[in-house]
Order: sequence, then structure tokens, then C-alpha cells
Amino acid sequence: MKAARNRNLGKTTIFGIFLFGSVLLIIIIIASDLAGKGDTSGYVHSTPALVTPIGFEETLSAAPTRDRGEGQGQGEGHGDGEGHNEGEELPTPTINLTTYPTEDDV
Amino acid sequence: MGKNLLFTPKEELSQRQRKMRRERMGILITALIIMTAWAVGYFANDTDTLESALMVLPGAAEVQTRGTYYIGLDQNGALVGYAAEGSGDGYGGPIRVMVGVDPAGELLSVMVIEQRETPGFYRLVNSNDYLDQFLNREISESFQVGSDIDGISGATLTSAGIASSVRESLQIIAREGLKDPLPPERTQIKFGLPEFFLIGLYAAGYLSGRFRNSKVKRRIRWGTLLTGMIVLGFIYTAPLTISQVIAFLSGYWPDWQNNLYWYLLIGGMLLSTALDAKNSYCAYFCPFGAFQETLAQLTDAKLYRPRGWKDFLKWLPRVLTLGAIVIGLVLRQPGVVGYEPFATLFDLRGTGLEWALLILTIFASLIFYRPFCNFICPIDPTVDYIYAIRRWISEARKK
Repeated sequence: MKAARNRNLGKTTIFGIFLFGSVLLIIIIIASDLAGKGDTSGYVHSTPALVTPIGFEETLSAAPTRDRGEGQGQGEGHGDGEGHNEGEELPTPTINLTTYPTEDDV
Repeated sequence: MGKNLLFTPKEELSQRQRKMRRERMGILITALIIMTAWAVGYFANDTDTLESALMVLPGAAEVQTRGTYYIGLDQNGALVGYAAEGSGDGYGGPIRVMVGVDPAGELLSVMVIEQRETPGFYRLVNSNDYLDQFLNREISESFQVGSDIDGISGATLTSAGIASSVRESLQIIAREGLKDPLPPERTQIKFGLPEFFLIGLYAAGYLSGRFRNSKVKRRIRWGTLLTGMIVLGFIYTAPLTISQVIAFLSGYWPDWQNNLYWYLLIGGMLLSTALDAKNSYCAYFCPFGAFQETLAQLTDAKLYRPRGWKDFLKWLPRVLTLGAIVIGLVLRQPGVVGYEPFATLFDLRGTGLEWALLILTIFASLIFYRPFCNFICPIDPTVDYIYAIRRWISEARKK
């Protein structure tokens, strides 16, 4: 009698673990899918997309890409591999920052 | 009369009538919740397509709407290209894309602006650079999966849906923008082995109920269970899911020529339940049910319901199902709320959480008879709901 009751208790415990474990996992699965659904759009383009909003002629911004994007860059490097410090003196690089309109400009 | 039963004071009703009244109240409340969720989702979701049109035309400073398509202009007002939206049927509902084409008819960009796929399927599309295949190609190409576009294994419907929506966009651009219409698409009815097996399994489930010999019945049932598990499960990974039910409720009905299987699966389940009061799908050939039953056969596992848990076990799957349906309808995202570990088992694909759920279910199936089907699966409460409506209608007709 006692053995049968213990067996049933063991079965109920396993059943409870299955049931509540499953429900918990399902809730987390749905919640994580809902949280991740904003990142699942896709966008590809053949050239870097430059969007110039009307009225802001100086503003260039790459179109937002969520999953993949393309980029282009150019650069030069100078130097030699033998430890010499000789070489052509390069001008200090300057960065042209895009100017964004201020409230006054608008 | 049903009307009397709903409004008669409780004291004047017998035990059976009280039960019937509770059931009918449940039907009405559930229907009200579902309709409210549908309405909220229908009126709340919208996407700004103008912004998408600007994004698919690189170099465009502005886009202008021209009826069903857009034109993109640069800062000097010169034409950069055309954009149009297209829609195709995916797994969880329509997939909307925006496509940009240059004036010479070369495809510049593809952007998925709305999709309702299961995140696992859609991740496959993104991780396989599927969209890249469309770029820098002539508008006149066929863009057919399996022909000049490679599909994604494990996300066949999603990849075909995207290709179909791209083709629809290109048709619009060619006809309206470039004034050089493409030949119309030929629609062929897709009927293959999955459809053939599905009809056969429904027929076997229906006919098996007509046999009186329990031995024959049992053999037929094991035949259909194993066929369902192997063919609909492991070979085609095409079981019935809550996502498909939500897509059906949302009104995302795909074109029947290419999605005959979808109609047979859902239509067969609805018809057999509503007309014959028998759920052949779950009893005879649900692939995941068959898998659990095979495991139970190995260990002689029996159905188990702990004492005192009866009401909780009855309401748990109902609450889970209704919750999933409401979220799916409100967000118009049937694919996001699917929680069955079917694809994890049959396609060996899933997140860590989905694998954990599958392993837990396999372990439980060795001890209890079909634990997922009996206590978790959303299809069973869906079928119960149809049964309840059927009972109400048949009793009303008797009176």
C-alpha cells in the first residue's frame, strides 16, 4: 500500500516536472520569439544606399540595414617591413564630418 | 431552447443543463475574445511603405507615389528608379516585400517589409543570404525557386513566398513603370506526394471508424500512425500547427493552386470534426502524436492524470491555446506564437529552448501516454471548441 502510494507520488512529481517545465519553456519560447521579431526583417541592396532627405542637402546617411549591409572604404598605408623609420611624410589626415542642420538652420 | 438556457436562473436548471450553459457561455466568451483580438490586430498594424520605397532606391532624394508603384528622384529631379510592393504566401501568412529597379530594368534592392513567419524559418532565410540572389538581375528573369533561385532547405515556403512577392512587385514595375509588361505567370495546381498521402490518411481514418473488428481497426490505425510520422513528419515536416490555425483565423488564406496541402490539412480537420464528430488527424496520423505513441509502446506507458488535477489539466491547454491565438491575432503574426516542437524533432532544427521542450516531452512520453497531446498541444482544445459548437447546433436543430 505504502509502496504503491510512493510510486504514485514519484509519478506525480515527474508529471509535475514535465507539465510545469513545458509550460515555462513555452512561455519563454513565445516571449523570446516576440522579443526577436523586430530583428527579422531583411534588406539587401546592390549599392550603398545614400538617402538625402529633402531639405537637408548636406545630410547624407546610409539607409538603415538590419541584418546585413554593405560598405565601401578607401585607405592607404605606407611603411616598410625592415624597421626603418624613413618614408614619405604624410599630411595629417583630416576628417570631413557631415554637418547636420541645427534648429536655427531649420 | 438555447436562448432559454443562457438566461434562465441557475436554480431552475438541472445539473446537465448547468453544464450545458457553462459550455455555451464558454463558446460565446471565447468567440468574443477571438473577434476582439482579430479586430485589434486588423486595425492596429500598418507599415509605412513610402519609407520602404525610399530605402530600396539607392541615391533617391525623394519618392513619389504613382498609383500602385513609386518613382525615385535624385536631388536634381532625375529618375533613379522604380519601386513597388508585392505580396506572396509564406508559412505564417503573406510576406510583403518592396523591390527597387533602375530605369534600365535591373533589380537594385529587395526589402522584406512585413512577414509573419516562424522566427526559426526566417532566420534561415537571412543566414543563407537568400535575398542576395535577386540583386543585379534583369527584371525579365523568372525568379522561380528551383529554377534560377535556390530555395532554403527547412524554409521552403518562406523562400518561395519571398520569390513570389518579388515577382509580383516586378510585374507592377514592368507594367506600370517601364511600360513593358512581363508575360503573365502561369498558375499550375501543385499536387504531389504530400497531398496524395494526406488524402489517403484522412480517408483511412474515416473508413477505419466503419470497421467493427477491433483487430483490423488497430492495424489500420498503426499503419496510418507510422505513415503519418514518417511521411508527414520526417520526410515533409508538414504537421498541423497552431500557426496555421491562426493564419486561417486571420484570413491569411494562401492561393489554393500552390497550397493545396494547407487547404486539405485544415479543411480536412474542420470537416471531419464538424460533420463526422471525429478528429481523424489527432487519432490517426498526427506525426508528433504517432511519435509519442511509438515511445509509449516501447515502455507500455499509460495515460496518467493525478487525482485532483482534472480541472487544471482540462483548462491548461485551453488557456495556452487561447493565449497563443490572441497574441497571434493581435500582432497579426501567426508564426511567432507557435510553440510545438514539431520542427525540432522532424527537421532537427530549433533553439536551445525548443530542444529542451522536445527532450522533456520525449522523456515524459516514455512514462506517460502522449503527454504533449493530452496536456499541452493546442490542436486538441481547438478541436474541442469545434465539437462544442457542433453540439450546440445539433441540439438547437433537434428542438
